[in-house]
Amino acid sequence: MNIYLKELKDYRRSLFFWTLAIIAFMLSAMSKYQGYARSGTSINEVIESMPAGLSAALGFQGLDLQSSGGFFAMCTLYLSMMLGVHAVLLGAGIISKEETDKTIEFLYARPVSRGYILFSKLLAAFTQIIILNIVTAITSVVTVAAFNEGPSISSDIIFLMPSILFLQIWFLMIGASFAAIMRRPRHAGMLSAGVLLATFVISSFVDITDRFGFLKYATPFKYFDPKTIFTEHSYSMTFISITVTAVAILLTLSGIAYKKRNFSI
Amino acid sequence: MDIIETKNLTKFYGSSKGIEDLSLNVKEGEILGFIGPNGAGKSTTIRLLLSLIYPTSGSATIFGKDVIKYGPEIKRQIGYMPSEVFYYENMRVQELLDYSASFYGKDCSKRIKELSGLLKLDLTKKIDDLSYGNKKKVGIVQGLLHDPDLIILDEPTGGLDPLMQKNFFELLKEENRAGKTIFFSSHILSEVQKICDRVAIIREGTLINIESMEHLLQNNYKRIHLTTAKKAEGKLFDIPGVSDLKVEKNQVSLLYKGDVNTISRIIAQMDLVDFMVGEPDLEEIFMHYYT
Repeated sequence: MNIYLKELKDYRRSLFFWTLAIIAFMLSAMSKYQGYARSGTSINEVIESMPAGLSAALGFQGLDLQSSGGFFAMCTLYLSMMLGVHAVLLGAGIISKEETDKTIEFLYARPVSRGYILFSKLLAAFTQIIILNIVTAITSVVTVAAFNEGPSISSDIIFLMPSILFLQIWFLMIGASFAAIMRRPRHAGMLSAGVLLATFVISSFVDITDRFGFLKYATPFKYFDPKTIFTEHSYSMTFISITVTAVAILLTLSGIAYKKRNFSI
Repeated sequence: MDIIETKNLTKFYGSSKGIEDLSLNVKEGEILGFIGPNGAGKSTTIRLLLSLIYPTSGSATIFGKDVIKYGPEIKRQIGYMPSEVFYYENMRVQELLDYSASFYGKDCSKRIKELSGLLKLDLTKKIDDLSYGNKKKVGIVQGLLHDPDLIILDEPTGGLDPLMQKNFFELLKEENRAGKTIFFSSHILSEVQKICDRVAIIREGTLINIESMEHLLQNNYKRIHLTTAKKAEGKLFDIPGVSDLKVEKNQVSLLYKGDVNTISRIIAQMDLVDFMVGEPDLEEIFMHYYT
C-alpha cells in the first residue's frame, strides 16, 4: 500500500496537467464544432473534396461532422491518441524511474518482493488511467452538451468511454513491459511511444485502403473504432478477447522479466 | 553463527568481471571491514547480497537463508547504506524517513528523532537542497531507523567531516555493543583500522585475504623516507618485508611490512639528516603486497 500511495502522490501534478490538457482540447474542439454546425457551407463537402488519405489520417473519413455525434467520433481519435500517450509514458516511466533515478537501491533494500513493487506500481498507474478516463468522460459530456444544438448524445459518449479505457490499458502495458524487459529502461518511454505512433499510422493506413484489412489486427486503435461503436452501438467480442489475452501475456512477461532483471544502478 | 556467508560468488557483466569465486563469512556480532581499491568489486558484492543483481554462479546466505529466495524476509533485519545516496526528488527528509519506516510495520519515530539529533540532521529540509555530507546522514538514519540486526555500509564516511565521522563511528560501536553485526566496505585502510574486528581484502574482483585486525596491525605497513648524511646503501634493507625500495644518492624510500623494531635497528645504524615514517595508502599496499 505504501508504494501505491507514494506513486499516486508523485504523479498528482502530472495527472492534473493532463486533465487541463483534455479540458482545453475539448473546449477548443467543440467551439470549432459550433462554427461548422452554424456555417452555411457544408463542412462535409469540404471533406469530401479532400484526398481520401488526408481525411482518413485526420480521422474525418465517413463521418458527418455537422452532427454532434459525428464530430465527437472524430474527437475521440484525438482523445485516444492523447490518453494513449499518457498511458504509454506512464507505464514506462513508473516502472523505469526507480532505476533511472537510482532510487531502486533505496527501495529494494526494504523488505519487499519485486512482485510487490511491480504490482503496486501497475495498480497506481491503472488508478490514474481510470481517473483520466473519467475526467475525459465528464469533460466530453459537459462540453458536447454545452455546444450541441441537436438531441443529446451523452449516453453515446458514456458508451464509448470503455473503448478508450481498453486502449489505455493496452498502451500502459506496452510501456510497462518495455521498462521491465529492456536492459536499459531509460529508453523504454521513447521506444514504447514509437510503438504507439506506429500503430496509429497503421490504423490510418487501414482507413485509406481496403487492401490491407488484415492490418486492423495489428493496431489496438482499430480494435475499438468509435465510428463502429457509435453506429452499431456494440463492441467487438473478438477484439475484447484479443485485448484481454494480450494484456495477460504482457503482464506475465513483465512479471517474469522484472523478477529476473539485474537492476542497473 | 555466520550472519553472512558467500560461496564462490561470481558475477560477470557480460564479459567483464565484477567478482569471481568470492567466499567469505561475517560472524555474528563482529565488524568486518571489506576493503579494496575503487572498482575492486565491493559494491558488486553488496548488491549481490541485496539481490539487486543476480550472481552468474555461486550463492550467498544471510542469517542462514538464501538471499534471493528469502530476500524480503531477511531484509527486515538489514540496514543498508549505499555509497552514493540517491533519493526521491522533492521529498523532505522527514517524508523520506517516514516512507522508509512504513516498510517495517513498526513505529520508528523515536529512533528517527534520536538518530537525527545525534547527527544534527534537519528533518524539515528538502533532500535536494542538502549537501553531500548531509545526504549521507539521511542515508545513515534510514539505514538504522528500524533497528536492524545486520548493518551493511558501502563507503559510508565520504563527505562526512571528521567530527561527524567520529560520531558516526561511535554510533556504530554502540550498535555493535548491542549485538549488531556490521559489514563495512571502504577503500581507506585507516578508517577500517579504527573500528573493525576483521578485514577482508578484495582486489580486481577476487578476495585476497581475510584476517583479524590484530594480525593486520602486526603487519604494520609503513612508508619510510630517509635522508642520509652520506651516500646511502640499499644493501642494508635487504630484509623480508621491504619492497618498493628506491635509493638515490642520499635519499632512501621504501615500504615496510613487519615488526617496527627490526627496521628501526637498521635505521639506527645510519647517519641521518632527516627521517619520515608515514602510513602508505591502500593502493601502495595492494600494489606491493597483494599482487
